[in-house]
Amino acid sequence: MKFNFQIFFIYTFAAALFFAFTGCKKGQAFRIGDQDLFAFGAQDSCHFNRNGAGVRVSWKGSIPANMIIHKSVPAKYDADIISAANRWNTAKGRTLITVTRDNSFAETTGNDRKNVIFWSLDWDSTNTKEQARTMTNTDLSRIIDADIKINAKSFSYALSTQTVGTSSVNLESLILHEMGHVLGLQHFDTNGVMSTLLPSGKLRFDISGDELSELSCEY
Amino acid sequence: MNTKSLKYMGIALTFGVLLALSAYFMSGRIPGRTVAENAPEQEHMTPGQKLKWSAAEQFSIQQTNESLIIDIPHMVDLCAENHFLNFKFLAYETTIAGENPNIQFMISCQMALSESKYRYEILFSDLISLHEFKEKKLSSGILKSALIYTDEQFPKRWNLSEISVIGTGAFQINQFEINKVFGHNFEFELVK
Repeated sequence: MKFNFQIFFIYTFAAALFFAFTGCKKGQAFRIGDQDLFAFGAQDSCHFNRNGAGVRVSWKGSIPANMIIHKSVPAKYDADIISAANRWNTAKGRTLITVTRDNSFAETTGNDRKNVIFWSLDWDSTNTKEQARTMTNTDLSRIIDADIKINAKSFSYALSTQTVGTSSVNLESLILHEMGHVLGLQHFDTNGVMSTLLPSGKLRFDISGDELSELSCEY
Repeated sequence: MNTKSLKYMGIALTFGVLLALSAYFMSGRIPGRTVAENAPEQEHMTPGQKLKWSAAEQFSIQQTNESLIIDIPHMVDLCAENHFLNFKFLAYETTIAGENPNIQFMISCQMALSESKYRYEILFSDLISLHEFKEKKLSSGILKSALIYTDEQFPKRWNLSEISVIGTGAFQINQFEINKVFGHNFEFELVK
């Protein structure tokens, strides 16, 4: 059969138009309001933080984020932490986060380009309602370091195999949420793993369609 | 047109379309690609734009070894129908749960007018003290912090991200506009 270049070109052009107008939310949203002095082109946030130039902040091409379980974290939680990472990987269909234990790692939190999960018994006394905290360090629009600190001073934690309804916080659900922040996502108002409040005893494993869709803006 | 030339034209056009597609998708991944246009001519500005342009042009911010100095010569005009001026500083290389730690410096118009005060100095030591205290009252205004924790390192690199005028004639000057008006981002370091 003879290859028809005209038809090939027409289909390619149609595909280009389709992608140009639907475009996976990767484009810029220009706005010029009543008081705006300049046309300011910023990317849609897609629930990511944006830098001063309006560009979303993420791991860009450095994905996957390789995380280390610090020796301070009790080993019985390893499987649940790895499972939380796998939930993101499975939902996205690619490896976004890897997790390994490294008991030789002695550093504390900081911008050391090591992505570490810490178990903290020394929590800021003014923030005792905070279950965990994810801090990232960035260079322009790229995340270069991410640490998760779990508040083990104010909360007790349960494994996913333990009975639902316990007064403890389900650690896998919590880590799933914090890993969303590691990837660069902010909080969502809707039901999903990135909503702010995680009540004790609740299992929250279902990454919502909205969360996945927003994640697709960067990964 | 013969079949051969049609073939080459098809290849060339297809290559062009694919190149345009690649550029489109890659543009979403290139940092610092924000497109700016020149500000509109004065006579074409809306009243809101004129007010803001004038306000943005008159702010002056300097940095010494130990402080930031903000001059607001048009304070009387700004405070005529507003209550507060707010300067927001961001730790732009750090995020907590996807948000940048920040410090806000709020000036009361009532106090500024009663004291005829046009120059404000913020000591770096006062900014750094927010590592332990979430709020600090200065003689010239109030400093408030968010997402700064005593059990984390105090963020080092900061910038002025927003100037807000709060009141009936409210407006905001965002970081992009600050960059354009001053010709650069206003950045500074706080080392504890």
